[in-house]
Amino acid sequence: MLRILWLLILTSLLVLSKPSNTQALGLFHPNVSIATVSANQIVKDPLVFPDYLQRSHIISVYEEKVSQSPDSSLFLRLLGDQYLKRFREVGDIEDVFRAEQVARRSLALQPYHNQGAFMLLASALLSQHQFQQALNVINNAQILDDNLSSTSLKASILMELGNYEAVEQILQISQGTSNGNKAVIARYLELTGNLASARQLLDEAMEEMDFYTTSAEIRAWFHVRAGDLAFAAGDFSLSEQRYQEALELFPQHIAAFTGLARLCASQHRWQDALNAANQGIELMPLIETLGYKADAQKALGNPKGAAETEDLIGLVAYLSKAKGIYDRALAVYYTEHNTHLADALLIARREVALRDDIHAEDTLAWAAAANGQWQEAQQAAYKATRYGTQDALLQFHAGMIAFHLGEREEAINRLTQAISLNPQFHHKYAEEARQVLAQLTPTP
Amino acid sequence: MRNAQSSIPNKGMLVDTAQKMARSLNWMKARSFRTTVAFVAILLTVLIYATPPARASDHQDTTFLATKLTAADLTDLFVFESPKDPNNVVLVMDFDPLIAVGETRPFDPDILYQFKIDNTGDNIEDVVLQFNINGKGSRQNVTVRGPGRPVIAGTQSALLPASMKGPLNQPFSGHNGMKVFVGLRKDPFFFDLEQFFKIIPDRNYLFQPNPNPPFQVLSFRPPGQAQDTLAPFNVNSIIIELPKKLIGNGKIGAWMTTSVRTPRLRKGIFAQIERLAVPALNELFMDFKAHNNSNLQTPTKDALNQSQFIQAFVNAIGRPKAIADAVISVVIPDVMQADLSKSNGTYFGTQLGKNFGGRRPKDDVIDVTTSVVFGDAVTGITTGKIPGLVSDNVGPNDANFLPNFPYLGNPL
Repeated sequence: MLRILWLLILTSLLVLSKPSNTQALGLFHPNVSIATVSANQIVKDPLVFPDYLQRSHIISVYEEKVSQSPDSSLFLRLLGDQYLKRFREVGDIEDVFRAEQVARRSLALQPYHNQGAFMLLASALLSQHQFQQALNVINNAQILDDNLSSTSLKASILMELGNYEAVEQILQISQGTSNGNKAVIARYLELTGNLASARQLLDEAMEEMDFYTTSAEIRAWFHVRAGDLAFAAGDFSLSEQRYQEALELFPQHIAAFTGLARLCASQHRWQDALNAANQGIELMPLIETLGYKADAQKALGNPKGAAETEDLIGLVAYLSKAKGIYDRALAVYYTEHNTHLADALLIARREVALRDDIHAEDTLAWAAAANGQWQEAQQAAYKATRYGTQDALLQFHAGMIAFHLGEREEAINRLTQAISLNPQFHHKYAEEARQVLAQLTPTP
Repeated sequence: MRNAQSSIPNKGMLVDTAQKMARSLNWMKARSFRTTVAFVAILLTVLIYATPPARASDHQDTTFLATKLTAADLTDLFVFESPKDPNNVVLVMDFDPLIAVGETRPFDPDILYQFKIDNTGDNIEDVVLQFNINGKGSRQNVTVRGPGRPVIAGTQSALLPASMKGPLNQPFSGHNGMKVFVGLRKDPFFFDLEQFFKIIPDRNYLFQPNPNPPFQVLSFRPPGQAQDTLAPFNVNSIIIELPKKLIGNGKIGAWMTTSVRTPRLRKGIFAQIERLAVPALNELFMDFKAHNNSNLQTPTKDALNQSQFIQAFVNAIGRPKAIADAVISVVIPDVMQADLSKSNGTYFGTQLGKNFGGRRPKDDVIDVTTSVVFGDAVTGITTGKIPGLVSDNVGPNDANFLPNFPYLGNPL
């Protein structure tokens, strides 16, 4: 066993240290074909131009330019922009590190008024969950030109940190004159209990993005977000439609597969959930998607397969821990599956310290409840719901914690809200919410 | 209570991580660990396309255009006499900048490209030439509409009847002696943008003095060291050569716009999203965050909107007001002036030289502009002159141009 463990560690270190790429593993299109195959030849009746097929080629051109002009802060910044685009398309974390590196090089060459590099650096740090560092970069950048991009970026960072009051102020939402891009404002509205307004704004933004030449991944992202919000509102038909549209626009959209897997699981369409999860995992084994896969395998009578999927989750958890990474998706998985509960609470507490947004508080609330830390659970549930979230799962958690603490009215209110927001918000908890409500409010 | 509590998980046994990893060995052989751990980098729920643009002549004019709809991002307008036929005029619209070698950028069928011509001196278009792309993918072609009187003048547009149709990336001809090319070209603009950013890193001069003086560097790079930042890039172009008489017979003001269909407007109406004419006007003088407002205006609004930026800029660099007055007199409103009744054009020639005026692809418009603003060209004013800024020391590369239609060089 020890040999195997060391072999695994050694292998992981080798792979992590060697900049081999995911394309070599068939996860993306090889460079050689990109420069020679016209994108128009690939897609017969395209909804969108598949710009992502050219990304690695464009990056190679910029890398060459940077090599030829190493003192060009501009080429470094443009290269970093392409790295971040490829990260969004492929999900290779190395591209984020590359973007950070070239942003820092650009800033070393031009430390003042290099707004583009400051924002590139902040974006790269944000993608690494270094939220406070990203905010520091923006705050220290002396961005005099307070344009839409910098405002939106700062608002996005602040939302991850849970500072919604500051977000409202910089987006000027209360003044009725929005000062950020619609997607960012929609996110704020979603998090602060205005789901209908968020959906309306995001639909507008999605419509404004629907150009043939707009980057495929960006267009798809808007459809995924619209699918997420439709799910939150219990509009499952529209949610599924939006996810499918996203995949038509960008067939490798990991979040679309994850959303579909969640949607199908909530409806107990287990084979569909398994299929969607499998496709997402092929691209990137996210904890959340793996969790849906394991649940689907169990529901379909495949405990052996579910055990193997759980092993994989354990592997991802191990690798994350080895890199000092703590992700709340793991805490959610552990808590929901009644395993590694001490780890779940540890991760959740660290998450709150890292970013105190409503989802971190909700993760902490549920993990603390699972560990019998009811006071901590109650406080976190209060923080998670204090902005009136219309996320049914958060309301359910708060309701169940109140139920355990004997706060009957609070429990009824929260659980009723969860069910009315989305009658099928979770494949397991939606039914439990109904059962508890029946118990609390027996019919005469 | 107890039944309900079953949903709240209880503490369980910790799973043997090493055992689980061992069982996963086969899977790992087929997958990159790097990909496995990539989950940590969230695919952000809040969309960030935060990397701002690089701005050249008008390359990547606003963040929206630079990041979401580059196909509508106008870069340069050229208006010049045909080198082959003195009765003809050539109009060139460049857009969608920074196309890397080997990169394909498609045309967007939902964008309307227009040359707008005022031939009565009121800065309102009297004649328009419209171009719209049909189809997607390899089946794309272009429809040319006009020249003709616009159905609607101003920031909204409606389509004129089609006058000709042709393929992309190859010249074609139609009635009335018009020749058209729509496709990829070598970007003709030349500029040491890298050094420009070090000299003038931002344009927020209305708020000067601020904690950061406007100039970090006081000189362009000398000849030999200066570099054309646009040299490695292509651009998409619409090029049309047509008889002068089709657009006017004397002085004209020309500008170009991109417009899109929008659900807020009734069917068939396009809304303007960018406007451009005089090179470097926005880039040198205008606060970046004012670009979008300017893009959504007509030239009739320029005197009020843009003059203030020029005055503030000239004041900030410590030069006399007369310099600003001279600049304003030739670049406001933001239209490319030409005199179709004259020949031998030079840049600003309509206003200053009493010739055709307009702009040719090889005109060194940066040097002309900087020599006025930072030097003593045109005004003869030497007070506050900044010799290191009167030229970027980058000139046109003959290899980037063609002697015949479509005049802009083949793509790299």
